Amino acid sequence: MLISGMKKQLALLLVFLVIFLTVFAGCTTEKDYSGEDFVFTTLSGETKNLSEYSGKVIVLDCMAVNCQPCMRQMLELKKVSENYSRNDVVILSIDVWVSSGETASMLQGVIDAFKNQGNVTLDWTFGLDDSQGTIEKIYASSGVPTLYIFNRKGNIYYSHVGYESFTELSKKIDEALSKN
Amino acid sequence: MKNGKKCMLFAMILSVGGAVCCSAVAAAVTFGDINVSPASPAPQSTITLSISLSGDTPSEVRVRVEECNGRTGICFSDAQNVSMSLVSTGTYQTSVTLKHADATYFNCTVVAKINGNWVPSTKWKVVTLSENSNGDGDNGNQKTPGFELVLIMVAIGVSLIVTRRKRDK
Repeated sequence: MLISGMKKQLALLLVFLVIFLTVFAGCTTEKDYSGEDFVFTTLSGETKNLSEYSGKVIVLDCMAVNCQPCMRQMLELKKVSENYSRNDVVILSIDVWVSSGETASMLQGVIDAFKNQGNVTLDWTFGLDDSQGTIEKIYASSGVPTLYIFNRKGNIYYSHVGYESFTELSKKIDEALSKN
Repeated sequence: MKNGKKCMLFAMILSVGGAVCCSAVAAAVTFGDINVSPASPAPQSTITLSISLSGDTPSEVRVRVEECNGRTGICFSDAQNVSMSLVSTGTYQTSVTLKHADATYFNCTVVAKINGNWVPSTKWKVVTLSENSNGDGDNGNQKTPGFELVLIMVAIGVSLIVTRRKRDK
């Protein structure tokens, strides 16, 4: 009788533990699954695919011009740009609010403002989503900035919705680099 | 020589005429400040936005409202793009209901359609939202599982009491 009661209690506790762990599965994910390929247009008008960068760790920054946290994120990405070799890590900042009216000239305006007003050169690849918001739907449906780290095989290693510091980003980049 | 002078005069008339035509075609609109009422609204409340425009009369005026959370550093993707109505000479107004319980501020920008072209305002307004104090059970951030934690703790407590009582019997 006592043993069956204890078993019930244990089973109950197990059920609660499962619920607890499910609820507390964090807002950030650290998975290793295939990232869907997409096409974007660079500021110089070239058409590029995400898959073109496979073989390197990719930091994908889904951003928008009319987004203050995205501007703060630029300074963290600048640190990534300064601390990692381009042979290892590629940064792609894609404006995903093109469907809401953001344009290449607006995006160029941001880069120019960082250069002219803050003396910060955003020296990585910038691009734009299409007018249907294809990339936004796949990768930034919650909001901007949304950051992804792809490993060398092109699989998503890490994702985070919202601003992320260089300290956190660099930890994940280091892990993605070391696991290849 | 006379022909040369005539040509110069003709070119001058043409350039002056061209400049006059161009200035007539170019959209000239001046955007006033965006007014928000109430000045410090709560998340998910309905706000009234108004703006005064002078110059060319636009065929349409729209306001874009982007809600953001400064704590998590995110601007939500479902920005609202709402048409504004002319309420008095040069003044446009609309009401917008904010969507996100966890938004801490919003940005708004206005665009006006003049001669078929959308002219954006160079000004934009950032409005800080007040804390939601309506006591409707909103925990401030729907993504934070604090409320669920309380439920789980209560459930564990109840189950322990029930099993102890059964054992005592």
